[in-house]
Amino acid sequence: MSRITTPPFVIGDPATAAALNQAFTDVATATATLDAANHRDQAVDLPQLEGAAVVIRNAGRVTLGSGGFTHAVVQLVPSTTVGPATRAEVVDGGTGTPTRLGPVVWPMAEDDVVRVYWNLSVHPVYSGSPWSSQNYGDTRYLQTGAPTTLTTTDSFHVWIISLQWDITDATLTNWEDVPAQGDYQTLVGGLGGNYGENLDQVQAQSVVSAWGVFGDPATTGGTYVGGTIDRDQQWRPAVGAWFYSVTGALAGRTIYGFRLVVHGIYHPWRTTTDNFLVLDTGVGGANQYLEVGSGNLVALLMAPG
Amino acid sequence: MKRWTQQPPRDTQLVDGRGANLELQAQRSSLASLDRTQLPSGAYDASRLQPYALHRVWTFDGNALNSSHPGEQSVIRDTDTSAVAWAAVTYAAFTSGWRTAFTVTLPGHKGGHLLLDWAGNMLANNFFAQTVGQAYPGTPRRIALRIRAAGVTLAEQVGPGWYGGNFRVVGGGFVPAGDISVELQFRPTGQGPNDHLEDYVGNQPLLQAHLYGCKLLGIGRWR
Repeated sequence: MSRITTPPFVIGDPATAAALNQAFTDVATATATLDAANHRDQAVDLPQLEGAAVVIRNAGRVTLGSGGFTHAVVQLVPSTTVGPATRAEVVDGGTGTPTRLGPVVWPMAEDDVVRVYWNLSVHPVYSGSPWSSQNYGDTRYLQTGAPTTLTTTDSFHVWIISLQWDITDATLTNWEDVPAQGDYQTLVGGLGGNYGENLDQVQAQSVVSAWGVFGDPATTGGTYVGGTIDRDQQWRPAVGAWFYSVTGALAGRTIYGFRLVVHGIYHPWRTTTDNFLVLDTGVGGANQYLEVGSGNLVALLMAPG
Repeated sequence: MKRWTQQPPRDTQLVDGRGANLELQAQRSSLASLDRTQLPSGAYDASRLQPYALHRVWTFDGNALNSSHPGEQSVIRDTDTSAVAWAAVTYAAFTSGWRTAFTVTLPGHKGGHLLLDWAGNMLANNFFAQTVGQAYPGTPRRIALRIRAAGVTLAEQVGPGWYGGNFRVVGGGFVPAGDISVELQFRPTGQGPNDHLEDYVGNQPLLQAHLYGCKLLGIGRWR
């Protein structure tokens, strides 16, 4: 700690210019060697570190898709009839140009934190009753009148929008799923075996409900179900987020870009121990697709503290 | 702002010991207790900061929230559901009230503002949301969500309500120093007047709600 130990003047001392100058020189000397012990608690804050990336190392934002709020020109992502699902990158619906964040050059250090947020305007489209050929989702209710059993869908079918990054180079041709986000390209089981993902590997995805079927509110029935009714789900937002602390082999790598991919249609399935989302090719077809409008993707690389 | 001077000499003033001592002592004390008013912008090199000097960021991925079923709530996990549904919330296993999906600890919070950001995917069975014949008011099935830190609710929302969707709950507040316990809680809508609780043929409890793909971010900010 920089301290001054010069004794004070006392009454009776001769007041010389040399003594006074020496006293002030001591102060000046001490000032030049200040250290951490001279600082009060809360002495240093962001202004004193101006220009340094203390909290946010890098940040970026990109507009996804196309069409704006009028949905004038949108991207159509087809549903899958033979697995595994083809995953479509979110593009400008008019030109087909990929809309992605990058190329950027964001080096990652151990314990750095990556945060990614996104939103997309989407419209799940279907025709007729695709659930009548579903492989998953049959639900049986006690029905008013004959037959007494109504078989319909549980409406748990979803589209998936998942996050990928490129940590190889700035050409943005080496996309891979981010940590803890599965690719849905592996056979996991299900009825007759099917492609899907364990729910413990779905950390960076949004889901979009493919349709909604309800007990018909126009039918009397008490504790019974009458018919069913389904409604176009219209345009709706799909939001998502991913948080990640850099660790292991990824420390020292560099982020070059992020993008979103869209695929479907999936349905819940389970084993005795785990829950899954698996591809339901029975509901796929030309009339079932996802319209993707516009949105945003924001990414930040943060210092851990 | 700290006082830099006590008795500055003036023109034609006679120098005396008391005046010189006061002035010198004022300057000495200022050196031992520098504060931000004396430090210019950009005065320091950030590389000299000690870890977590100004802030700290915590992340909890699915595995950190729930190691047995990463990212999923498993506090209500009815395993009697159909094989084409999930083991999750059914009305056989849930009646009402808030349930804690995840409990985590934020170590080393120094006291100050804490922001928490909880995101994930959800499912809520809305087949009976409108009630048959509209004999009763509609009962949309939502999953209410809230975040509690150190026993205090920082954020609460009515929550998403659809067959399949996504959510994000963000909240912040001033939290004392220490290892902070955070609870992420949810409350599905209870059963409505027309609900069928089981599949009519298989008598398996119907899947009603679930949270999955969950992760949590925390940012503590102090000085």
